[in-house]
Amino acid sequence: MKAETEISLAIKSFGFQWQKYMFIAAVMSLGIAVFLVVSNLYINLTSAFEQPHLHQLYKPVLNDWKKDEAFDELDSSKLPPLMSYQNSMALAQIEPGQNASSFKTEVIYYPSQAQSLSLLPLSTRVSSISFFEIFNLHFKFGGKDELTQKSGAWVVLSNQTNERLFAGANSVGKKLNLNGHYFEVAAVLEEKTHLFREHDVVNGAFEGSEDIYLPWQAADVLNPVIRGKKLCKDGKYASRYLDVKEGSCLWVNHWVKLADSELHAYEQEVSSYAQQLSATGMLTGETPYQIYRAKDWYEKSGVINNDSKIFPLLAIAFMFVCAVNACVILYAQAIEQKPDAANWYAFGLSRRSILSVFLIQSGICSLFIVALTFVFSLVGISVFKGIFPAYETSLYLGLDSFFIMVVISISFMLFFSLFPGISLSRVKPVVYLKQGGVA
Amino acid sequence: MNILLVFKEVLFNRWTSFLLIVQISLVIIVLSNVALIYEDKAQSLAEKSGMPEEHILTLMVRQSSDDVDVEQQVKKIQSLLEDINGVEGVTTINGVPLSSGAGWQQEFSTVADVQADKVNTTLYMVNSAALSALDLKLEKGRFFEAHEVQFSNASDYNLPHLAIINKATEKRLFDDQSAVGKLIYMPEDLQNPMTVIGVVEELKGVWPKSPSYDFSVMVPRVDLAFRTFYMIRHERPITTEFSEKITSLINNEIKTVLVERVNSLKDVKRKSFQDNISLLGVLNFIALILVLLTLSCVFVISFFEVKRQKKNVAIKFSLGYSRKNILGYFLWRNILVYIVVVVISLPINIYASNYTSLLYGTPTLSWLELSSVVLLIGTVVIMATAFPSWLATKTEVARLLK
Repeated sequence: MKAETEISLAIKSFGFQWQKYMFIAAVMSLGIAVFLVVSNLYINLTSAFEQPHLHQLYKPVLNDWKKDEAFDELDSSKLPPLMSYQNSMALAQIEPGQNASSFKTEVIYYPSQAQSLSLLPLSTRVSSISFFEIFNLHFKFGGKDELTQKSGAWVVLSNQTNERLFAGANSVGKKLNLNGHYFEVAAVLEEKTHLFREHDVVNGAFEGSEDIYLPWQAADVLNPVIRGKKLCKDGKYASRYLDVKEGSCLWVNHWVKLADSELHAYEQEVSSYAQQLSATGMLTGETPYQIYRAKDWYEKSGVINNDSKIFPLLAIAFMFVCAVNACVILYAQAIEQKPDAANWYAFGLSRRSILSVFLIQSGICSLFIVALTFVFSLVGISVFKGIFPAYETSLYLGLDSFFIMVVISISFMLFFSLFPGISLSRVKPVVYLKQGGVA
Repeated sequence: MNILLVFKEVLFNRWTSFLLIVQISLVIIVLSNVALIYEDKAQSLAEKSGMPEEHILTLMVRQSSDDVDVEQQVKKIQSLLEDINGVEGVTTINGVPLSSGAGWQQEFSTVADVQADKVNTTLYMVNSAALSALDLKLEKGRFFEAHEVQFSNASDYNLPHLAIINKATEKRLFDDQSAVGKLIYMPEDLQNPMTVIGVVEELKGVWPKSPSYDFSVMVPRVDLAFRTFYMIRHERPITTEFSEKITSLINNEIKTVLVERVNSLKDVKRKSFQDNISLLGVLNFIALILVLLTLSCVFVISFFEVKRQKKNVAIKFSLGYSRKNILGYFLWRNILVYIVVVVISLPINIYASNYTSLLYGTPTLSWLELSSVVLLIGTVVIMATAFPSWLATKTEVARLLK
């Protein structure tokens, strides 16, 4: 009976004051939504580092840059992220480990006469077959078997390229003219699911992934462009694959997949190889080599930039500003409600019940906060994605976000209602009843 | 006005004062750090590039075939572009300034020693028309002559022995001396120094976030590569129609190249700085909401304090207080609270701004930024207190004391 009275009083009272509660809900939900959107980005990115397929992935790097010069002026501890072809091939020989060597280039697609397309430059990654398995890239059409059967003239298309060239149809077995040479489509990748370009985070982790993938054998035929002057430590201006293949230019992106039990043996082998190179002056510096866990490499490479690091803190502060603001309005609300509370007390409601009535009102308000936060978060996410397209796949509201939203909304509202509620429950009826209900 | 009395009132209404202090302190701390980040982002946007960005078109073409005489092709495109009505200059270039795209970073020193102090610059390979194509201001010396420009294969590392540097590079390498006639050395090729023949006032690099952004060196060379950049200056601001005209002209006249990108330098810069521009928008939004929240918070608290203290006010009136005294009483109450806020938030602010500046590599919070934020929020506090305080002066004394 007592609980029913409290609920009924709270609902009636909420009905009388609904404009104020809606204002409180708007302010609180704005703060929580901003916090959710910003922290979501940070959490999604950091949790992306923990994906199961990255647990056993390592990035070996060698310090084969110039003597007496840091590879990166801003961070002297940074070793070159790429290595020479010879070094990559030598590391690939090391047992144990499954290696993925690749490099980025560009080829031109010559459309068939039936296609109403003009010449199309395609961003290309030349890679080993193991690359797809190591980076957990799934196939929409075709698969690993098709790749191993096709000798060297195969090409794997990204889903987007398949949409562009073949309107999304199964293109496995079709031929593509790339730089005047024909390649057979062996597989099509599934739509991009990774939050960032895991295999190459140095030059913009959120830049688009490659349009097509070619095997190493294709590089001998196409002699594709190798770009970037910074690649060659002797100052040579890198140009074509065959020019730099045997040289000291650094252009191969090397990764290795190791079981935990294999790491020690692999480290010893790399150390011994590095010692050989150091003895001949090929490696320099106090740290001639490093083997990074994928997660550590992403952190070192700044996948999560400064803005992404500081904005969650700003968002927390912003949320608290909103919460204190809501508390202020609730306090004002409690002052307004004191004559009513004095009447309730006079009619036999205990101070505890008066507090309960106020908290129930806040509880009802928190349901509106949940709903509004959900709407604001969805709007915020689409606005954020519009402003920062790089985070297109990194920002989404999952079930866990919804759960956090409900918990924060209700707990914040109840917590910040406590002080105004207690103040209301300590009402002195004699003051208000004497005044005839005037505060 | 008896400030001590007001201070006692602040202590008496400690909960509302506490809420005000927490709210405004948080706002000042957040806003000061937002100002710090804002300054960092806005500064890079405001820097002058040394070129009329709206009037320059950047064009990227690439070979569609390997069997082409690239030198002839480049000359043909250059001549086609120069013949367009209104074009005031065309240059080939190896990387587009401000673009964050492809380019060449090169270290230079003033002595033939690999250990010597070096400056990291952006190396531009341009032709003799670059001065007018980029509308650069030549401060000293002369620009390249047409016969000095080398047409070289991209893999040929032998650079020309003439260089034109920007003023920042001159200052960094030669301090207050003139660089004209002096030698600069690349650590990779100490045997072949370059002679500085001129100094231009300003020319920014390719990568705004790189240490090489402020320092640039031009050499007279046309890179015969699979891809060539052109920069074209027009007498009028670049329009979409002009860009389309250039694309169709090249597509129709030169069948061996593919026009990959055509953009005005202004758009290239905007794209390159897009993240910063967007972030400034977000920071503006955050600042606006925080100011509005402060306004609402102070207003609501003041309004209800006035409402709660109506009887006290009536008593004060009956004791001879003037309306001005009552107005001053409520205003001073919030001003006192605000002074406490400023004192409390200062050390937290310094700590927080140290963290921000550590992340962004910017100087720590300056007094100017802090005082701007303090002044802004102070004004907001006074504005939000003014109306409720004025209402207090309109208290009906007779009715309340009856």
